[in-house]
Amino acid sequence: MLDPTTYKLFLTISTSSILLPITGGLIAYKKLNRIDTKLLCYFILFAFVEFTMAWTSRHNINNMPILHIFSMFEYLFLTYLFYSSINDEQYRKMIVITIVLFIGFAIFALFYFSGIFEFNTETVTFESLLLVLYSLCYFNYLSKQIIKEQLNVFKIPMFWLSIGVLFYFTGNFFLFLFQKQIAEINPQLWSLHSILNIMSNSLFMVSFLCKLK
Amino acid sequence: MQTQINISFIIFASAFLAILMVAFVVSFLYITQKRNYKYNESIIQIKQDYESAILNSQIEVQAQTLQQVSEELHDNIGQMLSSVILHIEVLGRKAIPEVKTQAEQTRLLVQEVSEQVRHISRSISPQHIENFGLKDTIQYHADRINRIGVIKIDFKTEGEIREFNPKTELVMFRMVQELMNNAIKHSECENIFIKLKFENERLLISVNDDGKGFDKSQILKNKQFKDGSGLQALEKKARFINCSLTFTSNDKGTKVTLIKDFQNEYN
Repeated sequence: MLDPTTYKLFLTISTSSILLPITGGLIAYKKLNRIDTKLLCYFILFAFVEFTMAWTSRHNINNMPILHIFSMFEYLFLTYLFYSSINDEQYRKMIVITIVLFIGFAIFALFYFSGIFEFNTETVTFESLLLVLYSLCYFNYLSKQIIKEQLNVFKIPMFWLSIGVLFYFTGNFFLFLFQKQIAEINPQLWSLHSILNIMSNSLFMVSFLCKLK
Repeated sequence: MQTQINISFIIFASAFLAILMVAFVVSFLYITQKRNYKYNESIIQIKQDYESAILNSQIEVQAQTLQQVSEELHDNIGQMLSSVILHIEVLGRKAIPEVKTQAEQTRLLVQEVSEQVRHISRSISPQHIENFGLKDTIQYHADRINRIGVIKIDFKTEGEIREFNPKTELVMFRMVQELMNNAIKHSECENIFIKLKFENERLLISVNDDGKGFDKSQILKNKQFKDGSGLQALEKKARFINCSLTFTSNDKGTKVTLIKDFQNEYN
């Protein structure tokens, strides 16, 4: 068990770690292409949301509606990145079908499972499942591309982003799934999310920095 | 309590699974990438070896053919021309004074032709480079072009002259010859400057002209020069003898530099 001060500090570090990819993006700003610039804008928005969530949480304001909206935006944006990076008709079809499924499920879950003022555990869990699936599809696609072209995957920003996505959403899958139980039995288990968050944000930073050399 | 332990276990197991998955993906892609690099490198090596083998046989066939032509010119045509000169001399001695002058002029003309044939025979002979080396062969070729008088070739050497094996020198000479021919045919130049600079570790050969220059990318795009013809052939030859080849060209002329390390001597 962590003492409350350490736990809070841990959460603050995790929230602030969103500044890592932004810093990476600003350092490599001159080398960014259109998609990278969009990604940087996404992280800036993400940081704004994170800090708003932290502030509202401190002032005991229910911030779940923000999470509902942002998780939908997060899913759509990351899916757009995967869709743009995977140049394979079958995968693209699968992504389009799952987008429709996800939106349908999110609306259904909003009315029948977790309301707008509750943690959207079902939607976020389904989102995690889909994003893990997309990242695995991307890696499979990348492994075929390596054979076709002379690629150095470690220099591809999307590779690092996908690693971050795989890491974050696989690690947090059960955390999201059992979020309600965790809140009752031991809220400090949520600190695992903080660790994964810091690590995935570091990987997102690498996705920008790998463009430098 | 049991539920708490179970959930905690599942959550930590999923985090561990995440680490495992990432490690697996990274190692899998790393290994695939490395394997692919090795495979591509071996393909490139095979291609280069194949190109070298073809070029080698081309050079040998060309050398043999030119040697034959050179011998034919020297032994056959040269001998016949000598006989013609002899006959004209005999004819001149017996002829009346008006015809004697004409016979003398004809003899001089045929002698000039005979001289030219002898020069051509020498300059195309691969034997020439074996006997006299790269410097003298280039000098001989430059002198022959200078005698024609349309273009001036300025040939210089610097440093202590060292020798490569005859095959390397033959390829280098053919490259210089090709560069001179290109300058004469395409550049509209008046002067060609050739320099052999022998340094401690390497030989620098520069061929400059004061012509109109060319755009390498345009030449490679032009269908008329498809196959890259001259330029690509030069690059292939350069790779064959392990030497670097650089072109710089603008509207004031073209500079081509060949650098051959003595250490990378082809055998």
